[in-house]
Amino acid sequence: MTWLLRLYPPRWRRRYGAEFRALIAPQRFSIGTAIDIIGGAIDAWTQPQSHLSARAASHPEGETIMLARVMRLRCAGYGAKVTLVDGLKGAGVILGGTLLTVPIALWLRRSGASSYALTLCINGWLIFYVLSLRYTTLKGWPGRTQAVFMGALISAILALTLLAGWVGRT
Amino acid sequence: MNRRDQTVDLDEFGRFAEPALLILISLADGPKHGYAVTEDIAGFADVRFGPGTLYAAIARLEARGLIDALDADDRRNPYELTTVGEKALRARLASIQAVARVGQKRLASA
Repeated sequence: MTWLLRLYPPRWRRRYGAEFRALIAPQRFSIGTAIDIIGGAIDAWTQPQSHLSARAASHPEGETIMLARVMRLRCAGYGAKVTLVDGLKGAGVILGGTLLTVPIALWLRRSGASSYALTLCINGWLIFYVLSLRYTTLKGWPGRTQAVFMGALISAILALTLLAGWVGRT
Repeated sequence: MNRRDQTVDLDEFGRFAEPALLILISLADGPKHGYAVTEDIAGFADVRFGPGTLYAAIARLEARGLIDALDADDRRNPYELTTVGEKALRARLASIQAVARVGQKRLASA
């Protein structure tokens, strides 16, 4: 899994790369760990901490600010909890998206639309699945991290779908 | 602290709030490197962080001066709690204790 380290910014790798590699090298590959590392990489790109560090060090009231910030830490368990309501929201997004795309796909098929439009519509529910992740797997990650993660997945789905449309046309 | 402040706080730490707190607790009994922190937290909190989450939290704590990296031991950097980090942890734990006491007292009288 050490290859995933390449996803991190160079500056981050210079600071934490060696110890991060030592931590993940003995671990066996798992989807959960890979997603966690990818999420960490997106976070490192979108919220670079070294800038904050330089600013805090030069701030005359740095200690007070640090104390004030850390006192905001929450207690109890770890990470954002996915509640029943979150699960229902995620399911609602998938179901709603599917219910929306199925009739459109049927209509496109009847009206003889292009293979691109048809495949895009058939695979549309996958996009809604990715969007539902913000209520489940991606819950609690910073908004920009969620956006990059979901944007990359949706882009990949669109690219594969258009490729499938092109193959279906030829 | 009013409600608006609380909202801003949660936004700032996001999903790294709890990992950061547990890392501070782990380092309270001496310096540890990333793997040792992970194992320690798994031992006392029954939670195992992924590497991405662990280092995102470590980077935030280090950026705010709550922990410091010591000289590398092999390829692994041990981290230690700073004075600021210790004060912050004491304050946070006192706050948690106060809340827990209220909860226990109310349960006892229920």
